[in-house]
Amino acid sequence: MTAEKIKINSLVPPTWNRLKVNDTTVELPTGAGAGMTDQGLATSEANAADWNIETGCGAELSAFLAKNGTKPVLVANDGDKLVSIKKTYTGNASDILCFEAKEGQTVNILTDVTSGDSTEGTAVLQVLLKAEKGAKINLAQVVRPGKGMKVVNDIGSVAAEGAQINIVQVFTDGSDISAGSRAALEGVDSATENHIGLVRTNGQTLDMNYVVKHLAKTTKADINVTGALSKNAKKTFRGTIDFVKGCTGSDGKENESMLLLDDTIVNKTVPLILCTEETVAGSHGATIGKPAEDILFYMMSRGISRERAIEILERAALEAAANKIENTEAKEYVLGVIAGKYADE
Amino acid sequence: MSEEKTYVEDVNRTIYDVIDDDRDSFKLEQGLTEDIILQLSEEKKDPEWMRDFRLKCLKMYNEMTFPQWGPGIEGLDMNRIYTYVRPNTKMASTWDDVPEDIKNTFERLGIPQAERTSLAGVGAQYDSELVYHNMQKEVEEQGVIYTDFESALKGEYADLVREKFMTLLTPNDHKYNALHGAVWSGGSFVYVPKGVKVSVPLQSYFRFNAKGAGQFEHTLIIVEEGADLHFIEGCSAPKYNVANLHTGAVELFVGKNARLRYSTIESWSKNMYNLNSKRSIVEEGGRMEWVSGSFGSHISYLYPSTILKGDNSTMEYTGIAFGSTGQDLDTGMKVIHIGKNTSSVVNTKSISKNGGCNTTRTSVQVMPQAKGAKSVVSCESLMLDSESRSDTIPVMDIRTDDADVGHEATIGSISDEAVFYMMSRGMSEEDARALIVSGFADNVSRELPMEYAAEMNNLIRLEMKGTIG
Repeated sequence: MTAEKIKINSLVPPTWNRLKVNDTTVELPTGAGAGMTDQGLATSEANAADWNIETGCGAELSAFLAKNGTKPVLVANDGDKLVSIKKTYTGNASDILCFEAKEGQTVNILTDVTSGDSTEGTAVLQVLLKAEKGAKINLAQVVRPGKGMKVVNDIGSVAAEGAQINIVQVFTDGSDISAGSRAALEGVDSATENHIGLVRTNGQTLDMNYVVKHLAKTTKADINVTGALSKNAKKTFRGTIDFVKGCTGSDGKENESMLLLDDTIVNKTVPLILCTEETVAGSHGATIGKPAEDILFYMMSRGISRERAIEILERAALEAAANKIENTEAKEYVLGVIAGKYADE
Repeated sequence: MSEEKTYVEDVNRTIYDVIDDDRDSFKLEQGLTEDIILQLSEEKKDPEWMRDFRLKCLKMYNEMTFPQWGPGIEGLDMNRIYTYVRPNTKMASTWDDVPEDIKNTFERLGIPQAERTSLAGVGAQYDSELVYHNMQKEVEEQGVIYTDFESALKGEYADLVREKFMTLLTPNDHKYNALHGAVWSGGSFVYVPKGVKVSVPLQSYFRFNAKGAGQFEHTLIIVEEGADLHFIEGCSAPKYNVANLHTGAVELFVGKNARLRYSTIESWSKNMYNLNSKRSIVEEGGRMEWVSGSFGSHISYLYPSTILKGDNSTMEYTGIAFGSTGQDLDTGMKVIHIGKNTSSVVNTKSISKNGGCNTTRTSVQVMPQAKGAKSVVSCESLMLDSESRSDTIPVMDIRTDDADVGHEATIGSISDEAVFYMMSRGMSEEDARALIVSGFADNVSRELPMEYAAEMNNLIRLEMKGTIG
């Protein structure tokens, strides 16, 4: 099978080239088959023109998927009932899943992608979300492939008037993961939240690009990243809050809290705020560093070893995100995955 | 009822827009060719190594690509730029010896008066050459060297200058460093010996007069162990309807336990492309302080950078940019933490109005060996209308666990709550808004000597009018 190199997660606007954060290059297999349609989902073919939604990974990925025949499929949902998609990859795969929340409806979605440690390949999962007037979409994702599996996890969403799109993601394993998310807040009073928990270690990488476009009045965005890095792990987080002219009264926040556990790691944070509107409030905050010694001391004074105390903090970073999942079933599942990870260790 | 928006006046440029007749000045022809570089080198009576350096830089300039990440510089055509314009006068050490029209220009800018009241020395550059240079005798007796760059290149400190020249800002950094290396002219050299504390600031003022010209001054400052200096840089130009270019270079060497404060009040005209580079390297226990006010130019690329090389070295950056009609100011700072227990504190502010564009671009890099590094960055942006643009583009690249890095950025308009609070205390809405906007710039003016704070306040004179709402 052949492969093609494309650029994803492009920073718009770009910054100094020497920092190597303007984009990332991924090598994707051409002709990869669908990986999700064997999950017992009720699907129908989606009209690609209707689902031409910009995503976090960007237009080059969408063009690649279209060129390679990956067709968008519309996944049916049943009101409040959780749409649960758990996939163990066995090789290259490429999917575009579309979810729609009709006016006033709440749709809950859970995706969990894994693979065996000996499995090698690259999987692309693109999730497209449309929330109509007053609707809500809650998407929870666990991304934990095995060591040989690379994953590109991409999201594009559109929110109409009063609609909400809430996304919670937990990245625990896998060698190289690229993640993108872009929300277009097109309707007045629409809102989006991203809560991301990540733990990267042993040379794992995570390259992220999260964008929120405030296109209408009194829209709200909140992007939160919590995580920990150790043992040659590399993480790049690009977050962009974009206030477009006319989005008066809008509010956008980004916050990142990263624990750095040794000096072999590379942690890059690129939180952009772009603004062409006067009456908006945008803010970014970041706290990056080693675990606070007073917290470690307190835990150690209670008989917890330093290693165990750091593990607790690491796990807390994942659980901080998972606890934001609104759907109880999805939340318990994700918390269970996190508990399982630390039980194994 | 129609709403009249808060009005903030543009920079009052009356004193900057006076144009002197330049019929007596000498110019090299427009453009950037090897012949022009050789003529420039001949004109400057460069040592051989400098001529070769210029030619090497020209080659690098021609081979390098234009930056793809900042404001558009398509309007800048190097084939239409005069790279060297020499006023028809020699450098003087008294203002009486400076030609009347040039002296009047500097008088209007307040330079001789500032020298009399608050400076230890002044260098005044007019187009490509210094026309005035002087330093107080007491400071000279302390062993401080403050001279024009050409004299330094050939005088007692020639070897030191050669050793340091464009080693911090290397020509292969980017296209405009290479350009500077090829065509630099004028500027200042400052050397403060070990343990000497210069209690009153030195200042260089760069005045542009020639239409369609470039100014490429080089500033090299060495502050030795335990020494202390405050250096002020000012710059202005009248407005023309063609592009002018400023590509200066500032290299600052801060020794062990030394302190250098570098303050800049930049008020270029709105046809100016200000593609300027500044970099400092700080040794053990040294301290670098930047105070920066960017008010003029059509396009600016300006990011003073600091390398905290020595253990316990520190940096503080305080900057403000004011972008209005026809301006795209891409400003900010860079810091690299290398030594142990280094710290950086950064406060940037921007005000955007009347279609002006501000981009605050920063980078904080903490290397693996920079144990105990601390960095705090704060970026605040104020939007005064919805015709303008304000972007914040920070990057943090952290490679050690033993670092404490904080970053916060806010963007917004004048707070209605704050206005309401002040009005409840008896202020008019107009006065309340004026006070808030003035206060926003206060952190920079507080860091400047009073005379320069007054100049800055003149530059951002904020006038409110009309009723609101």
